[in-house]
Amino acid sequence: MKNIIKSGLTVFIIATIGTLLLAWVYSFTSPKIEEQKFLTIKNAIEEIFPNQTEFNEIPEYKNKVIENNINIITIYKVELQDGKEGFIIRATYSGYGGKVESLFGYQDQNCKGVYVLEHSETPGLGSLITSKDFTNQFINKNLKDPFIVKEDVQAITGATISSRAISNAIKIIGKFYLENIYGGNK
Amino acid sequence: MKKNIFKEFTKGLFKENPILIIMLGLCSVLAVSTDVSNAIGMSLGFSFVLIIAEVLVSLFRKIIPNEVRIPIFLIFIAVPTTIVDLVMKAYFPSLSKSMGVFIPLIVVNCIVLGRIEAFSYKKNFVENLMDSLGMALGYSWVIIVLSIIREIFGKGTFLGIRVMPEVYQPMSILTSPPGGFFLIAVFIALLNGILKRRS
Amino acid sequence: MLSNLLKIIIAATIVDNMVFIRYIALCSYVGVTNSIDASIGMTFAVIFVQTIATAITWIIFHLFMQGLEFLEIIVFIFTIAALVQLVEIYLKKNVPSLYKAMGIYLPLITTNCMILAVTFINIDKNYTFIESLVYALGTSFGYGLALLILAGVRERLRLSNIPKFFKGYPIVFTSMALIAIAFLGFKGLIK
Repeated sequence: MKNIIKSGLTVFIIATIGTLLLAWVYSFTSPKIEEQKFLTIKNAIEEIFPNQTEFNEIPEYKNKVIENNINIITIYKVELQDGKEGFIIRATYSGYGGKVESLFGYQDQNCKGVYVLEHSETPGLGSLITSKDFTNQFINKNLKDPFIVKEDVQAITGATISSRAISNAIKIIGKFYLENIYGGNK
Repeated sequence: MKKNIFKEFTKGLFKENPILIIMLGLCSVLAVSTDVSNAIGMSLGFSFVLIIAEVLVSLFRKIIPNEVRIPIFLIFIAVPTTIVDLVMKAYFPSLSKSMGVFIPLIVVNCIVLGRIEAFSYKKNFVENLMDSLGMALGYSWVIIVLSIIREIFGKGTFLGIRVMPEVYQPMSILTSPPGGFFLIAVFIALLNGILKRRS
Repeated sequence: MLSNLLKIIIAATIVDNMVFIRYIALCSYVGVTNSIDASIGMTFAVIFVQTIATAITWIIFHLFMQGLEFLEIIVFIFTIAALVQLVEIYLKKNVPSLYKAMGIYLPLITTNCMILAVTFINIDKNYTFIESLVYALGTSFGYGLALLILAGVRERLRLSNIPKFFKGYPIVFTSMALIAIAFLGFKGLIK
């Protein structure tokens, strides 16, 4: 009996010391980790809206699943230097090789650009959705356009499915944006 | 005496190389050897955990009761692993992301638990220190060499910088699982050959 | 909802197979595939432990660990180790037949990277309770599938002529390389 108590106590004491040590390390790494997360998002947002002055999350739209299994993670309202405002919708959609997570930028009735955060598309083919050569075509594209690959959207050679997936995502999320956010419905 | 201690260190490098001979810790090896930067990050993280765990066990082995030694070993391994995980997330976030779940998996890396159970509990501090350094180095050199081959020939880059001429078409099969498995097969075969020739 | 679950299971079993695509659980994998019987025993043990471990760690994390996420590694590995111990004791006493079948593999499972990895991934991907269980089942099936395939191959290898330095593990890994190529073909199966 005494042995069990002694063993149990030893484990307990060592576990406690370990936990306290970790809590200490966590206390100074955790703010840094938050800061890193913030910087990543900030840099990504600035790729779409280079003249942003401030951005804030709109709390009502966290983790909302819309058409086509597109999952809106969150929406940021971005204030710009010229007094105007834009919106960044961070969402995931199903690409060719798996889920793609991107930032979709919208302002007025246009798409302002796309910034891909994570994807598992085919290297060298579908992965080119991250290249500016491909995404530049979406900047200032009117959301009333048909968004049909090989018509008003140019596909990546050899990666029609990846191209179609992201083009559809921009269109569907754009539609959501027009219906729920644009037009004073924030 | 000095020769003996040195042997504890050198055995981890080749003769008792944890990856190629004892065959442990394979998961992490193949997963992080796709890039040299990942391999270096993993080597550092792994070495940190292995050395600290072995040293702690050897220092405290007198007060660790045999019945509960496994839970205590786990704490001695889990705490440094969590520290490595937190520090990487805070100061090397892109590296941490590309290594994914394999940093926390150091805690069940067979090499660490294996060495502690088979060795650390029974030997003294200096022997443990030497053993852990040797094993850590043995692990690191294999994983780094593997990553150099996979990144240079599989992607054409080294540490992210393109080093192969433009005309070189990277053999991306090398960075994918089949390539990894095959390279390990070749490595082990080579090492077998070298060691057999020596003895 | 159901289609989502179906996607998760197919992805976990084939497209994102733990062994051949994600490189997880290799140590035990190479050791156990020596015999087909051992592989079957191990598969059962894995399915059993993985599912229960997933359920328990999910509950612990989502109900008790808000703000204490940095303790994830310690808490999870402890839970798995304790779970395996308890299961072993219980089976030994109450279901000796099952214990005989899974016996030696149970302690090995604590260090099986996959058990821990799947519990982490469930938290990472923010799966719901049901999704986590489905993922656990899928990955265990995938692992079992991988085990059986290689065990079958190794049985054949025993009777073949293998170049001198490739005997033993090198030929096993080469076989795995070939199987892995086949699994790569499944990519793109899930939209």
